[in-house]
Amino acid sequence: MSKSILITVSLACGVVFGAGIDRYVMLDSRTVAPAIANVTEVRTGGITPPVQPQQTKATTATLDSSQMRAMLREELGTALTAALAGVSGNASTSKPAIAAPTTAAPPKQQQEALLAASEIISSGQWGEQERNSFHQKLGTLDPEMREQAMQRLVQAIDSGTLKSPNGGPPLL
Amino acid sequence: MNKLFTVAALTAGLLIQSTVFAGANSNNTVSVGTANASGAFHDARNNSGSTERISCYLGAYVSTIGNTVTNNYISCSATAANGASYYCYVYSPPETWVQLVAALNESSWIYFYGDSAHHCQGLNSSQDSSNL
Repeated sequence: MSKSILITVSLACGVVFGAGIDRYVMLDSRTVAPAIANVTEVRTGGITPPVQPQQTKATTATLDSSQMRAMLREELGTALTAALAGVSGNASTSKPAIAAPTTAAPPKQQQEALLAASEIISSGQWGEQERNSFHQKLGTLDPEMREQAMQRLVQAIDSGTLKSPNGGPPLL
Repeated sequence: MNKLFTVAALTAGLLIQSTVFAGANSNNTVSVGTANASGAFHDARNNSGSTERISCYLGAYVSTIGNTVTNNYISCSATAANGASYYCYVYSPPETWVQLVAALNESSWIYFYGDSAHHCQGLNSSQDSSNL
């Protein structure tokens, strides 16, 4: 009895597996185009950027392109909505602001902020705490002084005197 | 009977596996030039070695508490497998750049470029299933 069950199930599995292989062969024999490709280009001019290289290899697929489109549309829609809500100035956002006003602070406060920013650069440490503190200081500066401080930072990074710990991004 | 379950489980596993690894797949390692960089987040994370990395940062702040208009800051950084890196930043970027960076996700590929003083001049991105 058990032998007959085993044979029956094996046959069923064989049929299912065979159908899977058949589908694989059918899919492999045609060109599988990328399911979705939503390219955004924003630039201020000057250099013509390259398009994304497409070193594409076809593999097996069981989701068709419309399903993939629907899934990614939903994902991107959710992400965009959340992100736009986050940058719209809503005071209830959970993350603290990283910098302060564009309206320049009083001269004395700006001098103190610039000094503090310089000290961060001189410290040689560029971890998350230093980055956040640096940007917060920069927020109190007028645009010209802010750019000055940023260029000091950039030079420190480029010269290697300021390094991100644990392979973090050079700038944040 | 145990053999029966084993065979059934193996068969089911094979069928499920084919749905997990599906679709076209691009290989977009992080590439760094003198004043530009590109790469896909997913590949940068999954490529062998711990050097490769690409990221964008979006900071938004208000001038006074309760203000509904934000001032924004964007920076993007990339480090290739050989350790070469490029980064750029911009204060008060165009709104389209803010939206572009906010929409980046695991399926994103990004290309950014700027000048030698690291001011961003352009950001391009694509969201593509083959980047995953």
